[in-house]
Amino acid sequence: MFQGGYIGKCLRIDLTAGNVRVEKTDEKICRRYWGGRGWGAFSLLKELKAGTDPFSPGNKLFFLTGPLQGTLTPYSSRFVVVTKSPLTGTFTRSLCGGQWAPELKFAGYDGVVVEGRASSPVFVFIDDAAVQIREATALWGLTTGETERAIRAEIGDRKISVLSAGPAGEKKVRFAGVIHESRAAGRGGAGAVMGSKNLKAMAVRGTGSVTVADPPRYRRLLTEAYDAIKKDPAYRDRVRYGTMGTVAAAHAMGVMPVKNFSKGVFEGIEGLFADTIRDRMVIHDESCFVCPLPCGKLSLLKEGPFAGTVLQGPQYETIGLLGTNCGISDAEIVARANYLCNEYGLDTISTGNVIAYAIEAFQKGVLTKEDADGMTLSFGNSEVILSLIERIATRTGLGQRLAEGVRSFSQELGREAQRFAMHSKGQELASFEPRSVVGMGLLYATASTGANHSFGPTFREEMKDPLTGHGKPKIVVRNQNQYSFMDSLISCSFSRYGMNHSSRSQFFSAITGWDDPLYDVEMRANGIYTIERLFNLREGFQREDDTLPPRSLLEPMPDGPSKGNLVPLEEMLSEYYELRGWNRLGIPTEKTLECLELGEFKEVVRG
Amino acid sequence: MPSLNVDPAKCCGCRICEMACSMVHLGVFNPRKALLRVEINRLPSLATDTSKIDVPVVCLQCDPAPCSEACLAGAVRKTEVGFWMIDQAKCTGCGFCADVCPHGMITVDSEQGIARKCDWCQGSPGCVRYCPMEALTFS
Repeated sequence: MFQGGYIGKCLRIDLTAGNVRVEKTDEKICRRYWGGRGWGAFSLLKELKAGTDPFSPGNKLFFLTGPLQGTLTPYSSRFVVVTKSPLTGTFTRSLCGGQWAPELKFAGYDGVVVEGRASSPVFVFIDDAAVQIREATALWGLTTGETERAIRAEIGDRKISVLSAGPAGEKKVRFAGVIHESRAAGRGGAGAVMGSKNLKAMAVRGTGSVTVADPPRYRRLLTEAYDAIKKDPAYRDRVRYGTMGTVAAAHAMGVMPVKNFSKGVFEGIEGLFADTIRDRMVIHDESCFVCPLPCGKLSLLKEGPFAGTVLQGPQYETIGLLGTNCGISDAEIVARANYLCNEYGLDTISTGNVIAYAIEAFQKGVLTKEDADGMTLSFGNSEVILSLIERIATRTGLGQRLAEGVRSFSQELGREAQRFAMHSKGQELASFEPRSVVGMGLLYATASTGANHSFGPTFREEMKDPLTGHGKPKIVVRNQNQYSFMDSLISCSFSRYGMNHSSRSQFFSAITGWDDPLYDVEMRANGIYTIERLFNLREGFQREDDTLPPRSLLEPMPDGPSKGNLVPLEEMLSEYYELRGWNRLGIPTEKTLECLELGEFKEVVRG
Repeated sequence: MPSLNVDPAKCCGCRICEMACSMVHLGVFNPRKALLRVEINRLPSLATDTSKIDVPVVCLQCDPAPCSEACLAGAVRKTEVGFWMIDQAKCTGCGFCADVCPHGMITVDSEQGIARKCDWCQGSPGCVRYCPMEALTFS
C-alpha cells in the first residue's frame, strides 16, 4: 500500500478517442523502480509495439513524477517525460524543473500518459479531479511563453503551471523540446511528439496535499540535509553562477566544443565567462519549487538590438553549443539565441550542434550558397546563426533539412560529410568534447538515447586523468546507474550539493514508509538501464551503434591540453559491456536478465 | 519587540517557506494552505525594480488590525510577544477576518470550521528556519 509520497493515481489520456481515465499507480513498479524514469522505461518497453513510428498515434508520452515531488525534499521539483525519440528512434527521457511536477501531485496524480492523436489542436487542463481536453486552435503557432500566458488568461488564474510545445514542436522539428517557465525538458524530441499528437500544452492546478509516511524521521532528515547543504563549500559558487560557472574550467581543459568540435581552444572565451555574463545581464537568482539552490539566472538584455529580452540566462550547455561551438563570443548573442530556442521550443544543444555542422559543411563546399538560402555561413556570424534558429523552428528553406537532425542531414550530404557529423545514435553531442574527457565519450556512446551528457556525467571524476580510458568504464557504469536512480526518485543532479546516495535513500524510505533501498540501488538502477537497452535492441540498435563520430575516434585533437588525443572507445566499450553483464555484441545475457529479475523480457535478447 | 522580516531582494522564489509552513502547522505539504506566500513575477521589463521579482508576503501585524476589528467572536487578539493570533477555542470559522485582511494572510479551514493565520510558530518560524537565502529573518 502507498503510505506517502505517491498519490496512488495517474491519468491516461487517449487523444484519439478524446477520453480521460484515472488509473491506479502500479505499486509493484514503484517498489522496484521508484517512479519517474524507471517507471517510464518499464512502461515504454511494455506498452509500445516494436517499430512504432515516433510520430504515429501509437507512440506515447509519459509525463511522470516520483515519490519526492510535492514534498519539501530539496532538489525535488522535476518531472520526467519518456517517449520513443523521433530524433534517434531510441528510448528517450528528459527532465524539467519548475513548478509543474509538484502541482500535478497536488492535483492528485503521480503521472500522465498521453496516447493517440487529436484530430485538431488541443491542450489538457488538469484541475484537481476535473480533467478536460480543450480546444487549442487559437494557441497553435504561439511561442511557449505566449502559450503559458494565454492559457493562464483563458482560465483566469496566473498561478497555473503550464508545459507546452512551441512552434518547433508543432512543426515536428525532431529535436523540439517541452518548455515550462523557460526551463526545458529539451533533449530527444518530446516536444515534436506533442506536436504530432496535436497536443499544444498541459496545464495543471492542484489544491490537494501530499503526505509522507514518517513525518518525524522526515523532518530529521530535512534538518540534516539543510545543514549539509549550507556546509558544502561549493554551494555558494553554484548559487552565484549556476551551471555557467563551469565554463572557464571546462575550456581550460579543452572540454568546451569549439566550431563543430573541430578544436579545443576558443579565442574570446572570456566573453562567455560566468562573471562576464553575470555582470552584463543577470538580474535575479531564481529557484525551482522547493529548491535551496537557485541555479536559474533570470536575465535581461539591457542595451543593443535585443534590449528588453528576458530569459532564464544561458546555462553551461547552451553557452557551449550556441556559443563556442558556433564561434560566438558575445554573451548577448548567445542569450538571444537561447531565448529564441526557448520560445520556439527547440533544444539549444541539438540546435547549436546542427547549425555548427551546417557552417562547417558550407566551409568545406559540401553545402552551397543556394542550399543556404543565399546566406554565406561562417562561424561567429550572429545574424546567420539567429536566422538559422528561426528557419529550423519554422522549417523554412535550409531549416527544413536541419530540422531533421544532424544524422539525417549529413546522410543527405554524402559519406564524406558524415565524418564530421557530431552525433551518436542520431543524438547531437552535448557540451563536452570527448577527446578531452574520454569517459564522457563512452557515456555518449552508451547512453540510452545517444550522446546525452545527462545520463551520468563523469567529467568531475575524470579531472585527474581525463585523457586515458583507464578505469573509465567503471566510472561510467556507476554514474549511469546513479542517474537512473536519481531520475526515478526524481532528484535533480544538483542534489550532489549536500546530499548523497545514502541521504536520498533515507528520504525515499521516510517518505514512502518502505525499506531503505540503499543496499540494492545499484542492482535496480542497473535494471532500469538494461530495460532501456532492451527497448533499443528491439528497435534494431546494435553494438555498431554504440559509437562516436569519426572525428572523435580518428582525428587527433589539434590544440589545447588534450592535443593529439583520441577517444579509445573500443577498449572501453568491451570492458563496459562486461561490467553490465552484456555479451560482446552489447546484448544482455539471459543470466543477466534473470539476476535483474527481467526474465520476462528474454524474447528480446533472443532476437 | 520581535518581528518577521522580509527582504525580497534575496528571495529566489523557491516557495520553501510555503511548504515549511504547511508542514509545521498541518503536517502535510500543501502550499495553498500556507500562512504566507511568495508572489512571483518573472517577466521583468527594463523598468522593473529587480529587487522585487520574487516577493514573500507575510502577515504585517497591522495595528490596529482589521482582522481583529472584524472578528465578532473576539478571537483575534495580540499576544504579549507582539503578534496577532486567532484563539481557536473562540473562532467560529465565519471568515470575516479573512475577508478584511488587505494582504490575504488568513485562510479559512472549512472542514475544521476555523480560521488560521501566521503565529510566528510561537517564536521559532518554520519558514525562517528553512529559507535558504535569508530572505526571511526573525529578530
